Amino acid sequence: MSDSRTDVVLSGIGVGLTSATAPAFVVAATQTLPPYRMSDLTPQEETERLAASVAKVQLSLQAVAADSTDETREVLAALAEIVTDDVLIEHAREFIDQGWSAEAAFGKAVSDFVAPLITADAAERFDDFEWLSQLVQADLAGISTVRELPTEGRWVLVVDDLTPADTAQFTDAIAGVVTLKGGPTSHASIICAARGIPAVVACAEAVTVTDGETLLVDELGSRVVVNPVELQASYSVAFTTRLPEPLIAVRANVGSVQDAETASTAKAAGVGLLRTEFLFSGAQTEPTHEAQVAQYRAIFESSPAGPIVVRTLDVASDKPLKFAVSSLEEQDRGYRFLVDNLGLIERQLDALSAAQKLSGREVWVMAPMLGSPDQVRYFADLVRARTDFRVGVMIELASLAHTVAELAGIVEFVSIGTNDLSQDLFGIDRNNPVQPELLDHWQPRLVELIGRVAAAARKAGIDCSVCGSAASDPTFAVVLAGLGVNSVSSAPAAVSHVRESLMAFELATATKAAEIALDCPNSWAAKGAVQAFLIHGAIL
Amino acid sequence: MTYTASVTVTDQLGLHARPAAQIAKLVKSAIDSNPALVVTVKHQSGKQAQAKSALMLMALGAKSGESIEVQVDGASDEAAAALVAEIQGLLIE
Repeated sequence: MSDSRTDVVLSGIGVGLTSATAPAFVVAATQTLPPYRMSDLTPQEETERLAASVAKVQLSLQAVAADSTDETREVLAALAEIVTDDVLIEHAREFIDQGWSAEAAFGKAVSDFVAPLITADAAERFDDFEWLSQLVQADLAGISTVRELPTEGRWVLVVDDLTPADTAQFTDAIAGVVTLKGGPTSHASIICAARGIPAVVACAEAVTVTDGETLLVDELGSRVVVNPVELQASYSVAFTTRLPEPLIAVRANVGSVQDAETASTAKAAGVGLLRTEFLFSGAQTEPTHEAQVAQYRAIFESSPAGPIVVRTLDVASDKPLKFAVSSLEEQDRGYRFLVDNLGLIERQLDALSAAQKLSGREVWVMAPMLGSPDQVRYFADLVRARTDFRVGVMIELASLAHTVAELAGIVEFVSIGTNDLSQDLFGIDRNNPVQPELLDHWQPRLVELIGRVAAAARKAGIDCSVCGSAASDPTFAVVLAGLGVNSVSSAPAAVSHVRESLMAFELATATKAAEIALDCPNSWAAKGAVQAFLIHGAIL
Repeated sequence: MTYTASVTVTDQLGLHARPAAQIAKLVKSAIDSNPALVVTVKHQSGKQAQAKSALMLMALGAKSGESIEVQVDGASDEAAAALVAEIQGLLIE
């Protein structure tokens, strides 16, 4: 195939930490359902059609559930129960009595009645119920929804989106997954992450892929490369190390003793983000002082040499704590949570202080999601009244990113959380992105804001770090060094790769890489231009 | 015979689809062997639901940490207490 395309990059959202290369297996989209129609039959006949169909779908869901081994099983079992729910069927019958076909009646019942029950904080996604609705409608209309997936060989599936029935038939033949739709929290992402299958989701451009084309699923680079020749997985971009030490310190994000041990092996220069939620989420009551001290101490003592930056409790809006006052609003995660749960945070600080003394380690502490210098001062005063830790704050809201200069004398360090910051900057819900490319850390306006925070921090005598997914991308870490950031904190598995790339370039090269990224119109151009510059010395 | 007991939702995510479906399934199978059985669940908001409908249970909107009242009609106290204990078991995550 002399005319075949090579090194074509398709961007999406990466899931997982390994890459895969294999031929594409394009899964045909299921036949589209016919539009809702009025019935030619009597309501009695339509009711019988519906009853037969939901019973059939229930049986097939139960059968697939029985064959599933992962969390798909629970979802399928719940859907199998709900498909024959009395109240749901009652709703559908009202539509049938108005003259609608059974297909239309069931579809309308699900969207009118079930949709309002699925709140943003529920474990289930409405997608699952939408799929259930389609299964019943397809069965009634005589359309097959069964998709044949390969069971032999090694393939990268290219598919509009994956349903639980699809993932239930996954075998080792599935080397990677590319979906045109979906997002970081869609069913496909959750299953692929759990099973360690590299995936790139929300990759609309993959519609151009044809059967048999070789695909590199480069989930770390959030892209798919068609027929790769020059381009490689983001991990294996082989930079030759030239410096004895990385340009800036590479610390690790840690949430358990195991993470701390992995980070030590990878020679991380301390812990840049110790998440403390593991101690609290799932607990029925607040962990005692002794329990907290023991757990913090175990992590401190396993952590790589260097400072340990602890983030105080950050309660996600979708997982409220039983023993804390927590609002379900995302914007209340920071200051609101802090003032509403002052005692909880004070007791956490006391436990951290005791664990610090027992371990003899250097501990810094920072708060998540604060939005103004006044809020930061409140936190800093709180910490200094009880401990002698260095105090800092995470920069996750655009409002605080723009007032870093005013933090002089209040905090000693800041740490930029790029995931939340890009969400706030562009006003996008991370779990349901309309334009996923705006959430990519290569987005030039995000890069610009990081540069401004770093410059303001330097002027104010404040240490500036970056944690979040941006800091785990080895190529992007070079850009961060060029922007004047003092350290990065990476996922434990990414530490050695980030270190290597930061040992491959002089500061002048990193500064140039940052300038190149800032000049690009969008994230994907920025990523491509910086990679070309660092790998080939080329300026596009 | 009316038996009433309070159970606590300790599943972190509240009374969401999965436990709701499990409770509905349990109650439906109990009704199969005792057609006189009626199980009603009341939430502090004043809403109530037939426990044989997973969707109605979800519609209660019970959050983690809240109590819900389970009322069992048409069964012996002994059978009702056993059923309530099973329901409580499904609400623990």
